[in-house]
Amino acid sequence: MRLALFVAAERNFAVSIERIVHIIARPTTYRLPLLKRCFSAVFLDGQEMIPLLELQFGTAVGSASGLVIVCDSDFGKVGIPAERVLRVVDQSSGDLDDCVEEPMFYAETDLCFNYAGKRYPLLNVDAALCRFRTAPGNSPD
Amino acid sequence: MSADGGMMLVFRLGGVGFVLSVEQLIEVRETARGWLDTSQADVTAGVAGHIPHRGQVVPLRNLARRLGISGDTAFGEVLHLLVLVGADGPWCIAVDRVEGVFSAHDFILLETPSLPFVEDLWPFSQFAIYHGEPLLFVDPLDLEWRWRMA
Repeated sequence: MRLALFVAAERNFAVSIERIVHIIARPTTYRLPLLKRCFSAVFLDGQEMIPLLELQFGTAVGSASGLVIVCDSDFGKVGIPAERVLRVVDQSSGDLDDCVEEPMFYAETDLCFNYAGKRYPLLNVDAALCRFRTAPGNSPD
Repeated sequence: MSADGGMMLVFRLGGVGFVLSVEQLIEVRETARGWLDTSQADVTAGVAGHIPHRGQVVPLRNLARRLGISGDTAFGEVLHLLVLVGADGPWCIAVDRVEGVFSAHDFILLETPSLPFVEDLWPFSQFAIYHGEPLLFVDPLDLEWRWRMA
């Protein structure tokens, strides 16, 4: 398995490259009502409306520069905000262990990829979306 | 898929863009908020009050509240109203502003994905792309029906 390594909100994370559809320059985002809590906004990729994963902290969402990683998940495409791509590496060039870091997205990061002396929480998009699939977001009062 | 012929009205509410077919629109009008009679408001049915319209009284439903849009958007001293076709008669919503009426050929109508939204509350089965922006497509009959089922 190959992993793409990214930085967002000054934190590192990794995504399996098999899940990445493409990476685009930060698109215009729209804060539509009734979004699930794990999403901050939606954006258009061609004629597809895709939700943007919310950061638990930090300011990557909405920053002028940066990227959106468009990923496939079991539930549909989802965008992940990032500031920059660090590199793409083979998993065998590092090792995986349990992740103890606080999740940076509303997403599961059970595993951490150790590479060149740094730790990269491995984002599991499917688990994230499964977890929040029915959770109410900014529901009306 | 491009929208069929006809015209579409674009409006804004709480910073969100919406579009509806003018065939489902009876009138765009302004009225002083003082004309809003709240004596028979029904929050569970989304009815903020009633407005006199062409010799009858029509319900004003609070779309902003239905969508969880906070603040007093659309409910200033002057109400900008869209009077819509309903199953049993006209009803209306208050909006922040009407942007204009445009040819339906300029819109691309698409199914709204379910993933981003709280599914049991989401009332828009379609959205339209207009000048690169997603606008929520309002079907008054469908919206009214969902309100009654809520």
